[in-house]
Amino acid sequence: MSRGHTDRADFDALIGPHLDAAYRTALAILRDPDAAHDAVQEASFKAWRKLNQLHEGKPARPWFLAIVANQCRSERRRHWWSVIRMPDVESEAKQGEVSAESLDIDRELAKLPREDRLALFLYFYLDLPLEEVGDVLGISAAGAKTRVYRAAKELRPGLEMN
Amino acid sequence: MDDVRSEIRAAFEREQAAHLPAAGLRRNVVEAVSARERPGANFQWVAVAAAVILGLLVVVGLMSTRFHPRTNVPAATPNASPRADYGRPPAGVSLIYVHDPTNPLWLVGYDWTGKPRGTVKISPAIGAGYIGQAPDGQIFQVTPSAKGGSGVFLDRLGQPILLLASGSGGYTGGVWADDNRHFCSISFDAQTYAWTLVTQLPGEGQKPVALIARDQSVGQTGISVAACSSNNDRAILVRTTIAYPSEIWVMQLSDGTVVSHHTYPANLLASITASRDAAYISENSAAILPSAQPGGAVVTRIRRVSDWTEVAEPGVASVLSFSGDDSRILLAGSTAAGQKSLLMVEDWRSGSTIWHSDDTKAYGPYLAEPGGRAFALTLMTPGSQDTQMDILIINGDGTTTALAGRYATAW
Repeated sequence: MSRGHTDRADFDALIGPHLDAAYRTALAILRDPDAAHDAVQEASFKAWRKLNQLHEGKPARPWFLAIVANQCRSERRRHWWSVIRMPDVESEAKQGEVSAESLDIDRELAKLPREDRLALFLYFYLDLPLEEVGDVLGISAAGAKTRVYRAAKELRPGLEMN
Repeated sequence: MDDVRSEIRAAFEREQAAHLPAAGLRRNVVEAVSARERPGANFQWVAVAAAVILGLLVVVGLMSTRFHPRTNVPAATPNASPRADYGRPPAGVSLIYVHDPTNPLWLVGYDWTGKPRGTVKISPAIGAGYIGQAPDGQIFQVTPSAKGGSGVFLDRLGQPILLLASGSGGYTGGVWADDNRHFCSISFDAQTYAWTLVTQLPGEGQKPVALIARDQSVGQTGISVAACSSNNDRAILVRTTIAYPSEIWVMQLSDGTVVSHHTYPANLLASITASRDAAYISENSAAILPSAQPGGAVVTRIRRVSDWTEVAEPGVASVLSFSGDDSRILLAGSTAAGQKSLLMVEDWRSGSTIWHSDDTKAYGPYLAEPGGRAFALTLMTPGSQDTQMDILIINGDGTTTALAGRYATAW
């Protein structure tokens, strides 16, 4: 087996299982499926190049999702992003049979600061533990808990978090 | 808290449900990624690898067995028939598209190892014009032919994105930006003689960036886009007068500011080639033109655009293209496609020749691998009118892969 094949197998084993979550994270940030695919592709190249920086024992998922999130932030920072078409997620949701209350929370979620929204996505949708949420966001687990709580409280004032 | 969790989760579910991950995402990404070299290994790894290799050599020496070194980059030679349906092309993988010889409305996408990876089937209703791919093959543009038809962008599966408005006749030469998503072109107003740089994202209308120049009348002159880089916020625009480059502008895409502007005397250059990221230009010598005039540039010069410094002189040959990573140049001894020509790929910083042809073929269309070091090059018998050509992928290390069969390209 050549080294190239071993590298590929290593990469597939380490990163492959997280590509689905990576795409979903990118979609949550960029809200454009094509841009999300591109971001995952680019982030994967970066992860491939940095694979030897992933220390033994360190979980691959938050490490890779952090690269994906950074890639998406870079994409958003580009001034040209402003002319890239965003799908109207809200209107697509309206096409289905969803309640007015659901539409309310969709709208409230859309209004949240992006990093807060990302925190909610990672914690509530991907079910990442707070330590991993913190790793992806580049903050501590306590900071991640605060951010998730603050964002959730924006959506539902009066919320108490355990 | 559980209620909030359920609500938030459901909201994200609704958002995600409309755009599920592409089937085969994992396989496609892993294949695409692992097809690339992995540079930048740190010295710890190098030291460990060296120690392991030394250890192996010692063991191998002691055991007196043969050690088989690994070849560098094996060149794949596809055996698959070009007249097959390879299914949906994978998302996010750069592909080189050619027309299926038996059905020109089917485009066969090869990856940069020369392996067929998908077939895009263009509807006969929109396939009347010239079909061109974005450099990564994720979008297509159908340009109206002389017989009519509508300009249209197609997605990576060949589905129309948006019909261009009719009467976009002011549209002249354009290029894909280095993000492979935006299309940059020039609009000429025949009433005011104004040349304007415009950009377009498939699915949206054209957006003017800025006025480049306003002429006194219609003359034997035209302005084209040599490079358009969204990554570097820069476009390079070249005016050609009669047959020679006469003016060049470097313009910021974000606000239309002209960063630099230079003029060239008539007959000095044969052409100007720019790298896709608009970081470098090549001022191609006019010395090899059959119509070379006194005063022409003796050698071709490569300049760094940011400070206009000359950084290399690759001889009298013309630079046809920079590689996607700017490390290589594709050179031709003749400036005209269809003529017999010595072709070369050089590492222009060191001046070393990576690959060269045997001077018996003529070249046709060529394509640089997005972000990479490879080129795809079409070769034909000089003087041949055959639209089906041999296609050679020249890898960054000089090894080559010939596609099985002969094709007309979509680039």
